[in-house]
Amino acid sequence: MTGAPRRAQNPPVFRWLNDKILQAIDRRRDASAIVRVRLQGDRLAFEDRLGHRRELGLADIRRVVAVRAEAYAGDETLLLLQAPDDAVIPVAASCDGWNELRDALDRLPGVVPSARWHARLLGAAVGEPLEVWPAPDAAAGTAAPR
Amino acid sequence: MGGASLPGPLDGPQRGSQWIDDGTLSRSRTPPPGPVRTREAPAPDAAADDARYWYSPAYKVAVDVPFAVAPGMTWDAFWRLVYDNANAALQKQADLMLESGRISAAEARQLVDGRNELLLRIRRRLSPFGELYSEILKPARSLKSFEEFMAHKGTIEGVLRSVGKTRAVVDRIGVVSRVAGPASIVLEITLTAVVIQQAAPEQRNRVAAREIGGAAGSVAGGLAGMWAGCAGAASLASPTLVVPLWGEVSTGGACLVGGLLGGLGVGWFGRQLGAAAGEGAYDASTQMSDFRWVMP
Repeated sequence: MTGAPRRAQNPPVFRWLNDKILQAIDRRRDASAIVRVRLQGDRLAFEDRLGHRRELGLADIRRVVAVRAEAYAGDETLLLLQAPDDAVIPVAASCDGWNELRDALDRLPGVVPSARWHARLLGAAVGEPLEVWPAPDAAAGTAAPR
Repeated sequence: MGGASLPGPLDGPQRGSQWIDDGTLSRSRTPPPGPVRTREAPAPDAAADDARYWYSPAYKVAVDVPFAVAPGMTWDAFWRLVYDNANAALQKQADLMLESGRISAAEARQLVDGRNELLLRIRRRLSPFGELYSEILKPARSLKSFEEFMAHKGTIEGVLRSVGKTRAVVDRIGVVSRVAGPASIVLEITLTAVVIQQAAPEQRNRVAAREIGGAAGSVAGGLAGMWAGCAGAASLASPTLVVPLWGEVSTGGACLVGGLLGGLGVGWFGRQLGAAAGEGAYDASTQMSDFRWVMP
């Protein structure tokens, strides 16, 4: 987590109900947002709101794209990880373990460092993708801009 | 005013405890002749009549109904504005640091973490509908089984397209909420004040209790209705809902439409309940004020 809020506006019972409703919606659509990511050795373990887990080896990641996504009031940083079978795992910055994931991705060879893509993402438009890995300049064999 | 009433006593066929036989009249004073209205309050003149009823019931309904969703939408739009301003400052700072080429990993991380923390704080302060809607907007994938994971795998470009569409919709909501929300609140407050001011003096407190109770009920019903409408419609639209002539409805879109309709509908019922509660409270308090202890 990037920092827990000190005070909530809505009462806890409302947030508890929200969680239950979101879980019910997720069950119906058979898809859920990822709420937790852990680094276990050289593998990333993802867990969604319904408690389902999947693992992905760091070496198995084919592509990483960072993007700012709309979050109604504000926007949220997303990392889209592409698995070998082309499946996409979207991980939001509010996800527990985000910092761990960011540090783990920094270890990929030739990756755009998180300090750089994060800072560039702040100035990017919502929905504008930034290639994190493989680095766009790595293929061209040029030095990284900025 | 000839023909307005039959001559004779104004009271009935009983004088005190004595019944009056049919065919007889009681001996009592009859009112002096003259126009009937001289016995009542002076009639308002035509100009005053016009001033009293210058708003129509249709106008009042047109103001009252959207007011149910206005406070929630305005509240969320306010927080969106707070975030946009803070984010613009952070963006400017990041651009300057990138241009100078002196940004360190720690500085970049601090900027980004600051923004993410700001987002989380703002999300916790949204209306119940806003908090639910912002969670529903997050991209979702199935991790349940490998087959389902593959069925929902999508592509990075697909997720990016979806992000772009959501942005366009939410931007429009933001613009409408920032303008229409406060306008609706101002209209509602103004109209409520006019209705109270135009009420007959002896009814003014009762009307005030009813109107203020109704407005409070409308806000409470609107907030609850938006949240319930979003939850209900989003559940119905999962995994997908196909509406004739419209096409497939996404979970986020269904939440938004359901939230607005729920807010308007439940807000209207809330207004009726609030108005009745306000009047009831007024009656109870006035009855209580007539209560006197009797000394033995």
